[in-house]
Amino acid sequence: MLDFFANPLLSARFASSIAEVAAAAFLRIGHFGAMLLFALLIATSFAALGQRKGLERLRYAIWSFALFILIGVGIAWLMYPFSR
Amino acid sequence: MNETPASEIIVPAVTEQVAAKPRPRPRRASFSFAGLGVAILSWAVPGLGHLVLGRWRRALAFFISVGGLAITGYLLRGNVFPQHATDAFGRLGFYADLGTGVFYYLAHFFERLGPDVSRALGDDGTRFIAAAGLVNVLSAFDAYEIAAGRRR
Repeated sequence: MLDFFANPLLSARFASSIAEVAAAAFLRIGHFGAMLLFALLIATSFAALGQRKGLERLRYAIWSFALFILIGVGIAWLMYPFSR
Repeated sequence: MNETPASEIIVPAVTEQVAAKPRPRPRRASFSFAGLGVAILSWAVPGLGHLVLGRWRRALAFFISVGGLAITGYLLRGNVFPQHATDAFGRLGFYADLGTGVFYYLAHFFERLGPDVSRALGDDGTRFIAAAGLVNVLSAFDAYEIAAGRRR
C-alpha cells in the first residue's frame, strides 16, 4: 500500500484510470441530466452570491433551480416545431 | 369666506424635517489592496478567498459549484480554448476558461482524450467550462467586496 503512494507512476496510473471511468460515466448522463447538473451547480453559486442568510438562502437556491428547469424545458418545447 | 388656495399651504413640520436632514454625499469607493489579494486568491483556487475571510460556507459552495462545473465540462469532453486563439471568439473563450483558475491547468488530467464537440454533449461541456470561469470571476468580485467592507 505504501509502495502504491510512494511510486508516482502507480498513483498517476490509478488517478488516470479513475478519470477515464468518470469520463465514461459522464458521457451517459444525456441532455436532461446535464441540464439538471448545470441548474443545480449554478443555483448553488447564485445562492452563495446573494445577501440572504440560512433558510432564505436555501429557498432561493431551490427556487432558482426550479426556474432553470422550467424555463429550459419551456424553451425546448418552443423550439420543438423547428427541430426537423 | 377667505380661503387659502391649496398650493400656498405650508406644513412647517415636514419642511423643517427635510431641511434638517442633509442629503448623504455619495462616497468615493477607495481601492483596497487587501481586497485585491483576496480576489486573486479566490480566482486562483475557487473559494480560497472566502475561506481566508472566514466565510467557509460560501467558500465551500463556490469550490463545489466552480469545480463541479469545470470537471463536468472536461468529462463531457468540452473544448478548452488555448492561449493563442486566432479569432475573437477563441480569445473570449480562453478568458472565460482562464476564469476557472487552477481548474484550467487540470484540463489535461481530466480530459484525457481531448475535446470532442462533434457530439452535442461535448458542446455542452464547453459551456460548462465557460460558466465555471464566469462564476469564479463573480466569486472573486464578491470576495473583494467583502474584504473592502462593502458587503457582509
